[in-house]
Amino acid sequence: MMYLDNAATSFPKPESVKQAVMKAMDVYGANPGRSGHFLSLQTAEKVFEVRTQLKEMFCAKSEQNIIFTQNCTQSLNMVIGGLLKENDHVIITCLEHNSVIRPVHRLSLTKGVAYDIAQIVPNDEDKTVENIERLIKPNTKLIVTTHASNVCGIVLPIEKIARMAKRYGLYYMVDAAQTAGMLPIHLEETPIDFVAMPGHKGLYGPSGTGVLIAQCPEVLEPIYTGGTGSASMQLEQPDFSPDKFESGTINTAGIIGLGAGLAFLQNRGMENVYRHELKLITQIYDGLVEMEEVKLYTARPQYGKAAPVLCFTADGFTSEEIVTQMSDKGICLRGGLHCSPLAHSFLGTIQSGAVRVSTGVFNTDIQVKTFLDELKKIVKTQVK
Amino acid sequence: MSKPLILFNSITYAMMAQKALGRYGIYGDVIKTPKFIASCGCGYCLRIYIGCLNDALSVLEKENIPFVKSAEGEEKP
Repeated sequence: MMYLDNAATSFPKPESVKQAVMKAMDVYGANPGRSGHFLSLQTAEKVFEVRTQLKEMFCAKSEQNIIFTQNCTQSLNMVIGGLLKENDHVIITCLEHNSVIRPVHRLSLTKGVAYDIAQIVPNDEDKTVENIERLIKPNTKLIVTTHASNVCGIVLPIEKIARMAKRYGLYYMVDAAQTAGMLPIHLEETPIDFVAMPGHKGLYGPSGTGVLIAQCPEVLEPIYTGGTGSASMQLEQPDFSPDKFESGTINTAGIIGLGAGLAFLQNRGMENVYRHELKLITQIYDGLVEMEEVKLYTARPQYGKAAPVLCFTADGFTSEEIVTQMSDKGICLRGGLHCSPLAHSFLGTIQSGAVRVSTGVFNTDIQVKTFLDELKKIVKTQVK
Repeated sequence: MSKPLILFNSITYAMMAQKALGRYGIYGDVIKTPKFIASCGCGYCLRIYIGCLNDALSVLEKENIPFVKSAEGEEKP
């Protein structure tokens, strides 16, 4: 079996992550922040340690700015739904995932929030920033951009966008679904207000984990309320983070597993992991370029300018046909629109969809060669 | 004489305080807030060593860690 769908979720997980989750189920099984018994306090300490790991990895202000969610989509919704009010305006880009455009679009229907979609310019960061800036209006409140496309891996200049947003006094959120754990996001150096990320992709944690780093949580209304284990006499939701945003029991075992994933990245070195994954995706790119039946939609991946994700189409095959035939050979890919119709419209693949391949830390050069060999066999069988 | 208590809104703040105070050599245990000091229902306290309260509160102010209130020790029934 060869797993090349790491943009969906990373697999396999490091052994240490699996063990951490099992240990959490056996040892840290109490509800953190809910009781005074030793087991609850020990479990709460483990959860706090993961907040500290994340705070240090991203240079966030403090542990109270680290909010656990169930996935990146929930993190994004917390900001989009919690910040934007009636008649606000928000700018997104043409690469955004449905987890951004759908809540934004819904607000346009239910709350009169207006939005514009900025065209990005591959390989021209300044023009990309200019295109976003051009859309700013007097009622613009928020800019949301992906850090890297989940379809084609294009990386956007988030530092430049952040500085531009600050000049206008706008909030800026980065969707780091494809880059958390891969490309550094340094919140002490870059004025990004919110970073949304999944725990289960580049951070190598279990599914059911996500993080929102909110540098200014006081500006967000919670999108759901309930028991927090704090200020229980009050009927009002606590107004302090992270409790304000973490109603109900958190995914304790998942979070402890996420902590092990963060430690795994720390030990390997985030840059080493990125270089490895990028090297493999570049090898794939170079192999696909040689196949005349295959069409690619981006330039050759470059360090710092691309996530280890790329997409392609093949003459005479739908993307689903390629995925099915490769799956029969034990190779896992994803076809279709990848929950990103905007990105596919930008690339020109909205009608056809595309096959997406995304490498992970456990993929190898031999696997890349096998992938290319097997794909070649398929695409060359199409009768002309 | 009982150990002083510092009350926090949430366990996250209590643990932030424990970590920050530890850097200054002031050690404490996180415990559930006893009834006599509780203000809004559930919460967590840091129970520190006797004689350290003033220093601890200074550190928390310096480190910008909010706390609800403090008490020199538990009330005896």
